[in-house]
Amino acid sequence: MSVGWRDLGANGQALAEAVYTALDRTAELRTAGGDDEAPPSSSTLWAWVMGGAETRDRLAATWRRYPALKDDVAALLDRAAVASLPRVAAAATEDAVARRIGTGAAIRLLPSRATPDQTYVVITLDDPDRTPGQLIAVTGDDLVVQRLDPPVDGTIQVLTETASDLVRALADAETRVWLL
Amino acid sequence: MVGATTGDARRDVGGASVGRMVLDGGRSAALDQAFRTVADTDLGEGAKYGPATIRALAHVITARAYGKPLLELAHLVRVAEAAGGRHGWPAVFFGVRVARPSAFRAAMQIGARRCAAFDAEFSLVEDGVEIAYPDGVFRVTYGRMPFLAALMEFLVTALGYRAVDGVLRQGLDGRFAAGTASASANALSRALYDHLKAHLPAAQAVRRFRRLIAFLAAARGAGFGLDDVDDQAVLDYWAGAEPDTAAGHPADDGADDVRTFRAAVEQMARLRTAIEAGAERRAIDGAAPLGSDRERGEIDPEMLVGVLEAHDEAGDPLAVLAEFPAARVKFLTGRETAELDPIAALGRQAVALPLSILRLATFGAVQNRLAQAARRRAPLAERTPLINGVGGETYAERREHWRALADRVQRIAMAALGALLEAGRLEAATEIIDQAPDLDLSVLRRDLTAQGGGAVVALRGDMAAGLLTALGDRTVVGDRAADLVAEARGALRAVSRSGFTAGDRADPEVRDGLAAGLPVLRRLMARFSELRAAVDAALPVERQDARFAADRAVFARRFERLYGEAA
Repeated sequence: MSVGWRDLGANGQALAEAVYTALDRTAELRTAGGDDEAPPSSSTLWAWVMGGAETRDRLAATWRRYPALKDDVAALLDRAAVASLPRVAAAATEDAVARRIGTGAAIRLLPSRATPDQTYVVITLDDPDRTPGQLIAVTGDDLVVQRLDPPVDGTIQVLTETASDLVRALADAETRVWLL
Repeated sequence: MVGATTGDARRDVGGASVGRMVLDGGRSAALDQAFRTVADTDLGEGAKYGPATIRALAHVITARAYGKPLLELAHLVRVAEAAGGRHGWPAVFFGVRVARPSAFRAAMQIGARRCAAFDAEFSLVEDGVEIAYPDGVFRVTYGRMPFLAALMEFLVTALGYRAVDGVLRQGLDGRFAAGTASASANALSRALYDHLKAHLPAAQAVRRFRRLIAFLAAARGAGFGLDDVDDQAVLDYWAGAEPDTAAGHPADDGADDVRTFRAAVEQMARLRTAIEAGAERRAIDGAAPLGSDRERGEIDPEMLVGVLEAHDEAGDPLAVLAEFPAARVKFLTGRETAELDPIAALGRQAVALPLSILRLATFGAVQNRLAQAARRRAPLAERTPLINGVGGETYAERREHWRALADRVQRIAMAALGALLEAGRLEAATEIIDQAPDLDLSVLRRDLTAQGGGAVVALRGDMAAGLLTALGDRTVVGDRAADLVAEARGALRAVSRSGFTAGDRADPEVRDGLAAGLPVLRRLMARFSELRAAVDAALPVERQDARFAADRAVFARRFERLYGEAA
């Protein structure tokens, strides 16, 4: 025998409405689509943060494309990093930052005496047993990734063009840096 | 405190303006996007969260029944923070590449080896991890972890990592006690509630529901019942029949909601489910639907999600077949999947609305082509033949097509059985017994009992081969089972789809896929068979041409309004 709508009573009808509504919304969520690619999830960001050279471009692209995710990326970098170096305090800045100190490491920029258009990036690790494989620097919409050689006695040196994105980023007081 | 950090209820991950997140007719683009972000997560090894996990997540979110899951999550975070080593809980929740119980088991086992806390506060038990608080023990199973990881992914996507981690950090840094996890869970629950308050409006769905009720009351009388939610009601509702106007709504009110015939079928099917759920609950106890706040008529979210789990089987068979390990086997082609999709999506309601499924398979397909033509602004001359049903299948053609499809998929199922027999999997025996429940197993029972010296129900591993061999021996089990085994072996030789070749069948993952997928495929085909029988009962062959002609006129009128010159 058919169940009558009126037979459900007010409570049964209320439940039916709630069930219908939930089914409706569930179907909408499960078929949610759009022309645009969905932003990356935290798992995806984590994989990119931990992924090294293979994922640097995707991480940099995400940094530019999804401003709302910058905070999440920075927080995940905080969590993953061997060392993190914050923005340099305004009072401590000169025209360009030549030295920054953070948790787990310090970074200095030393112009090459032999080749003036090149600069040494000297990274000193607090714990010589830590061996970060990459440096990530972010400022504004730019995210720079630099592969690192293994440290020697707790120090890593990178010789690069003074005009490079890496040196420009590290000289900017607003830049945040992570070693992973 | 939490509200201060997570109160950004309009977090726009897409980076667009807040304006883009304005609710689209009651539907939040931001919530859809957050959900899609979770569902689309793929770390290079296929979807991280399987369809069943995503479905469960959708149920919990839409029913707002996240209280208990968040408590489980808060406990699991405590373990994951330890197991994740220097990287903490993200290493477990985000680091697992495909959210399967086995992957979380492996992550916990690795974590346990390097973390002293696993000898004291946490312990690995057979089916999960156990936390021994001073004030109680809490266990989270590996089977539950994929869902909890998806919930974490959703939380972080919706609320932001810092906000979620901030809440969890307070718990992790707090006293090691079960009550601490409760505080974290409550804080997350409040934050999610605030978020969903802005992003999960029910208004549009409620309007649809009430419109359906009003339509049925007008069409069938105020005393309408479940049986009135039938094929004719679907067709009349979609076609914009007069009762809609009589109910005080303009004929096209909500037309966008039921622009497609499929939408009308789905809405009526949901309504049937909703009425059934209301009736069941009323049968259990008369005043049951009232939850924590009876005065306000609120529905208990836990009870609601229970109803959803019981009734919303939508799409499950195809979802399971698309999920590991069944996905390792090509049980169905893309076209076969598309053809079976309405049946899988509507579940048992498909059988209750058989002519609607037939109409969907014929006129619905024409409407898809019309919609595509309209999107690319095809000239009227191109649309008119479609509007008049030219080029579409007749009911006779569709039923013949269904028969061929059923035969084809049946052969695939038999081939899968053959592969399981070949692999010596006990699931093959289960399948044979399921397919031939009237088998006389007395001889087999006697032989196995003599071999094992004990009860047959407690089969030892070395008896599996003997059992499977016996099931193919007509002197032992008779002709029916032996024919089935022979047919299965023959079908296997004739199928060359991925997962069925000799090389594929040697892969243990493929064998697991065959074992996981075959019973699902069998259930789907049983439903398909029920549907075809229901169509046969509702529309005898001698009446189908006249019915088709009448329906074509109805569809043509509606198509003309939607896609014709005046559209």
